Amino acid sequence: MSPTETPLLEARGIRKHFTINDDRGPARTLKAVDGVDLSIQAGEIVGVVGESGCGKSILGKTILRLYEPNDGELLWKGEDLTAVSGPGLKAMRRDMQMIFQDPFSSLNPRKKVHQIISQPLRVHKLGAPSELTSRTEAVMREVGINPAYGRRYPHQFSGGQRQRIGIARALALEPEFVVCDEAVSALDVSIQAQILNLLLDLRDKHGFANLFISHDLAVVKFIAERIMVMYLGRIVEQASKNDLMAEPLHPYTRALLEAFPVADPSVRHKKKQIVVGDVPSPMDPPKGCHFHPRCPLASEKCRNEYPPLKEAAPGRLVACWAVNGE
Amino acid sequence: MSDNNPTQAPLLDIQDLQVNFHTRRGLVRAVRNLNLSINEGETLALVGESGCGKSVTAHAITRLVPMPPGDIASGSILFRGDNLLDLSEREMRTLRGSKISMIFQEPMTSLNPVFTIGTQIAEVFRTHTNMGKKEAFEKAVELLDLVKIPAPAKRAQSYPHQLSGGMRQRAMIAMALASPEPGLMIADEPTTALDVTIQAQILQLLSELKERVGMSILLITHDMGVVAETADRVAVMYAGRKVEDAPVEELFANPQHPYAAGLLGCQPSSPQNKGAHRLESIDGSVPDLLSIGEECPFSNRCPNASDRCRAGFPEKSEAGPNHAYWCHHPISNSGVAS
Ligand SMILES: Nc1ncnc2c1ncn2[C@@H]1O[C@H](COP(=O)(O)OP(=O)(O)OP(=O)(O)O)[C@@H](O)[C@H]1O
Ligand SMILES: Nc1ncnc2c1ncn2[C@@H]1O[C@H](COP(=O)(O)OP(=O)(O)OP(=O)(O)O)[C@@H](O)[C@H]1O
Ligand code: SF4
Ligand SMILES: [Mg+2]
Ligand SMILES: [Mg+2]
Repeated sequence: MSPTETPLLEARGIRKHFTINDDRGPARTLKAVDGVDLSIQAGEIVGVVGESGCGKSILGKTILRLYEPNDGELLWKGEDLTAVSGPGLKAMRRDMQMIFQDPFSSLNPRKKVHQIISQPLRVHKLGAPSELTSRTEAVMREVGINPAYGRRYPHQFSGGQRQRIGIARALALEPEFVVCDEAVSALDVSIQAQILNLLLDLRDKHGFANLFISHDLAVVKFIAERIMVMYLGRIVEQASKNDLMAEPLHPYTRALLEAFPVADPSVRHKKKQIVVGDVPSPMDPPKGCHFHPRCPLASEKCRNEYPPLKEAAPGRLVACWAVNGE
Repeated sequence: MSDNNPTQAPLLDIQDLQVNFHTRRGLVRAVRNLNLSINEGETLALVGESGCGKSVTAHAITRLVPMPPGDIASGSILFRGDNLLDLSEREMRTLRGSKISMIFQEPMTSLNPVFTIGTQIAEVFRTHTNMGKKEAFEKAVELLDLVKIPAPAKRAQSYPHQLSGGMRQRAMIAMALASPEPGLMIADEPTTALDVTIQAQILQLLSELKERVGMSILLITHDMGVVAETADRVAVMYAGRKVEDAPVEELFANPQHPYAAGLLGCQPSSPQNKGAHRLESIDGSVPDLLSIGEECPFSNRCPNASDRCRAGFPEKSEAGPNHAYWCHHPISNSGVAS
């Protein structure tokens, strides 16, 4: 992909902050997403990994404008997305869809499956009723659900089949961009493999771009072409999958890779260097580099100043004082 | 690594266990003809698809199967020679918390929200010894230190909700260690709810403690990465049946049952998927337990299935020492049917 091509979607300095009013003192700010840059080319699969609470879901929802960003720019094919509203936004939404983790709670239990899948088509007034049926049946076939089951309800399907229904609903409008938020995390591995393969087949056929969010590094590593690693609201490293796996640069990425259990007992006796400490609360992130209390390379500078995300090697961005120097 | 001394009796020996649930929809045969043993000092991983009977097996050992609707229809569970199924409720209560302990996926459900964790751990000491309050609390702080909770004396004063998920799991482990003679720890998805860096810490802690205290662990997990890194031996279950049982390296290198092989093949982190464009996958999904009769429960998904498979569940076969499987058409035909 040439870098001069206009990205399909570009985010610059996106922030999403929440005000927390609880019984533990005065109102505080939770910086769920704190200045994230991101760009996705048409047809590309970009993975976002990071531990619970680091802001992956909020990032996904904010770039789809399901949340209004507090700050930052969103460009869709070069056009300012934050300035669009009303019918313009609705039209753009057609091109952007989301697939969620829990296939059950994201499907209306009182609607039949064919109604669920055709609903976006009806909302966007696409096609006459007869066309609606044939289009719905075509997507069902594509995701591996027998169209004859269209009159059943979601609870009559297994978890994996429900996730296929969720995918069918998202793809009915032939979007150009899909955000998958932990789309396979609730599934048994044998079913997870089916769904990952299906997503890849569909991407190859339809060419949609995909922001694939997951806490499971193995899954992201398999499906994504480029990977962004998040820690407490910020991107700490971004690289092509191959570069990242061959040599993770950020100490947090290294810790994550090291901690990840590998399904191969023959490598287990390699002594692990396990990162110490807990993930800090995003309500009260450590000053300076957010990772410094757990980082083996932390220096005085790390304790005081947040490192900028900088090019550390061609095509590789890292936010770390130890990697990028002063 | 466990040195399996064949002359030594296993710590836990389950024979022909059957656990059923009488539901409105019919009889659910959650665990069928299960034979499972755990040796002294061994970590046995119990793996398999959701709903295959892993937790029910753990609940049968600790006698926590709700009855009704549950029903232990047959079998015996020998723990150091005593059949747990014959013990009185009172004897069983003493055994849980002393020789058999359990940790779960979400420790919040097993910690009492209204007591500090120090008090709760001290309470375990006090039920098994005649230790005074103050001494028991000091011992609790020592254990919190042993499980690497920072500032243990201060943390002992915390309530469960004031701790992170990882800290709570450490507190649960400390509580399990407070028993006078920990023999078996049953860990049901102990790290599933945790972040991966915290999971790595907890797994390392468990294996250190296992060496130190000399206990056995029954580790229930769906994560083959966790199995590869912690287990000595693996039992694979599918829809209520054990289908393969082997030492960990042997299972990963030489799986015999098509489900076990498929399960390993579909792991995105397994070496065979390195650089692959598609994962290996198993077609279809697990059948409804209510509809399974005497057939091999994998026969509707299995690439090797024949009429024999649909007619009856296979007998045990052996692929080597300590390596058993239950399949009519195993991956390599080197197995000798017994
Ligand atoms: N509506 C909200 N109001 C206030 N805080 C929120 C809200 N939604 C999320 N947060 C907080 O924002 C932070 C980021 O949340 P997010 O859901 O994006 O995390 P995540 O990386 O997706 O984690 P997980 O892996 O657990 O899904 C968390 O600390 C979360 O508690
Ligand atoms: N109280 C109950 N009443 C009825 N059926 C039950 C009950 N408890 C368990 N079962 C059934 O027994 C079977 C085995 O359940 P079990 O909880 O052991 O699965 P598991 O292997 O631990 O799965 P998971 O990986 O999802 O935890 C399931 O099909 C379940 O529906
Ligand atoms: S017994 Fe038959 S159906 Fe069952 S796993 Fe073996 S070959 Fe497959
Ligand atoms: Mg999330
Ligand atoms: Mg379970």
